[in-house]
Amino acid sequence: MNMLLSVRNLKTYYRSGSSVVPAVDGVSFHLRKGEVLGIVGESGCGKSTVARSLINLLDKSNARIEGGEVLFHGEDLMKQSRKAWSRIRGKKISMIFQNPQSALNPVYTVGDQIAEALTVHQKMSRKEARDRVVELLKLVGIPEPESRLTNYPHEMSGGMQQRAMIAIALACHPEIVIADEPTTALDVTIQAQILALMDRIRAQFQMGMILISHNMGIVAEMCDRIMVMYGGVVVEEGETAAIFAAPSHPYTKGLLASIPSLDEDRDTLYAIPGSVPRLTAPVGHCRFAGRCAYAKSKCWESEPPLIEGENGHRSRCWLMEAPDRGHDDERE
Amino acid sequence: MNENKEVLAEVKNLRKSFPVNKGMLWRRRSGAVRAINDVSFNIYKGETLGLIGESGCGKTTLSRIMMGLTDATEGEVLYKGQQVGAGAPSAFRKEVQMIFQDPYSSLDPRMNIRRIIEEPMRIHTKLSARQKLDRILFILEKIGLDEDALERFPHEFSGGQRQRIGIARALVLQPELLICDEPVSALDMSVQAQILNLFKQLQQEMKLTYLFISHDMSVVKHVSDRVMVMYLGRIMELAPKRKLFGNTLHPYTSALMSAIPLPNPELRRARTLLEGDLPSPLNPPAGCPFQTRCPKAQAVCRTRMPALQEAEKDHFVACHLYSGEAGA
Ligand SMILES: Nc1ncnc2c1ncn2[C@@H]1O[C@H](COP(=O)(O)OP(=O)(O)OP(=O)(O)O)[C@@H](O)[C@H]1O
Ligand SMILES: [Mg+2]
Repeated sequence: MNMLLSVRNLKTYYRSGSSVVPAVDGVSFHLRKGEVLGIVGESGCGKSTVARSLINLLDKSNARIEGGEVLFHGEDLMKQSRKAWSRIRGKKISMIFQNPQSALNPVYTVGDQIAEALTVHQKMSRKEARDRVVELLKLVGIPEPESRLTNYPHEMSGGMQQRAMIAIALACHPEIVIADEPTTALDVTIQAQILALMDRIRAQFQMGMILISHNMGIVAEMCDRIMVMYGGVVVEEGETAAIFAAPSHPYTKGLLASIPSLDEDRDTLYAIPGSVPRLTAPVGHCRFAGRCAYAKSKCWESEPPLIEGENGHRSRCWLMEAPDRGHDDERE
Repeated sequence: MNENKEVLAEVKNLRKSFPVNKGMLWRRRSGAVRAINDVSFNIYKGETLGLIGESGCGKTTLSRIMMGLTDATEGEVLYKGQQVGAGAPSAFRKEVQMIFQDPYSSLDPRMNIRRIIEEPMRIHTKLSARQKLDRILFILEKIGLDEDALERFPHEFSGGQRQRIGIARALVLQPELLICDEPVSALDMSVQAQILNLFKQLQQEMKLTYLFISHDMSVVKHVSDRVMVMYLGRIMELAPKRKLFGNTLHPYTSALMSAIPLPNPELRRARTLLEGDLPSPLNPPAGCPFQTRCPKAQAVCRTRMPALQEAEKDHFVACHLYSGEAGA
């Protein structure tokens, strides 16, 4: 069928001094062909670690995949050799990073870097490669692509660099693109251009996309489904419309209520009390309990599983389990 | 509305250019970045003036000039009628304080919180130890930190807590005007809401005036009474919040609003996407700086910068569409 990727119980921990940071602590999800899945959450909740685990780009010195599987065309990506990875990364699955400056190589021209992405995976003549590069630059909306070929990254604006990165990511028509905060470093008017570009190209090539962001606006506009992470786990997952219209996890509700809005006036914002706790493994309670207005003793005694509601909407909250979910939110 | 308001600070025909040197041997002056280009506005006592704009529009340069940290090339800034800059009266140095974007780098890691908050009082006041402590405790309570924070060091605090400490340091001299340069941009969403609420609460309790700089339109809209939109060193539009958002005049302001992704999937909308990049401030376009990207640009826009004028009461805009020079 059209399932592209299926992730089961992924765990990636970092060792930091004597403690173990459960950065990703049992994350499961799937991605279908042509679908955009959003991963949202605040700094440190594990979004980038999920992305780097999927594409085998973890910092080996202190990061370790503790468990889980990532099925792609029926094969477990976690079990691939280095050699196999070189045929997957960039060709089947590619990644767009937040910071184009650090992802592009400053000593090579942009044209060369895109050509390299092409020729690593396919044999082609210089002439063919050049033509493909020009075509790609055109596709990502870089004006006068012929003259841009010989630019070094620093000769381009941030928006242009991000377009070039997208061109590299798309060079081999991957089946999956993982974009980690692809527009966070950009101005809003440029961000709007890049998001429109990504959406157009994704639709054109029917790619699956995982879009990581801390911006609820971006995922609302771009994604079919959304996964909300908190403290290394998924706390809620569902269709975009459902997440925004009827969030069920207290954390998601709090987040949505805390965003200043352009279309209504609120005098005070709802503010989730406290701040994101620093967790160490193992965690035996609900990770949000310390900040949750509804926390009861059970929430401190064991960590709730993701409980499934209607239409595949999942929420990691003991309140979901109650026979009558009569916890109408007084904050709304 | 503004007539009976007291002017706290006045910015008059401000210009700032930074020379740009090229060429290694003779350091030829090859040009100048015009960071601020003929900017004039007032800040009224007790209000929050929001300043919004993209990179290179001059937000930070403007705030540094207002703090007296950078000199203007032309024009002046008056605070309570007196000129700001080198040799400004010491009252100014106490009454105007700044809050920075980055709560990580703006606190000295070697000082404990007591020292950090005390430092401005040691420099600017002759308060006794007891008086200083009283003020510290007063401020600490206002910003919502416990007394036991005093002996701890910045690295022991979260980003939101550090921003609270930065705010405490700015408030301890009992300032009147706070210049806040992207004060919530480095914070997480849930913490951002806490700090925004704190700003509003403190304003009421301590009768503060804010110049609140941000690139985030929703944040600016939330906190401001009036909003000023800048582009490449110029004011494009300046109006009370309700007018700016309810009856947007400048095409750039409209484009900015249209570019913001809204956290509401039901409002996915057709956007007016701006074409092209922000022009380089080193080499700004002739005429109106926005003309290269403006969907409504006309011939006159390519040759002449429109003046900032009052198109409606209290609603200022710099655009030929309203100057009577362009055919509508
Ligand atoms: N190389 C590393 N070594 C040790 N700990 C790390 C490392 N990278 C990340 N972490 C920790 O792992 C957790 C998850 O980090 P991660 O970067 O995945 O979060 P994120 O959701 O991408 O955050 P952001 O929104 O800030 O990008 C955090 O607690 C972080 O401090
Ligand atoms: Mg990240």
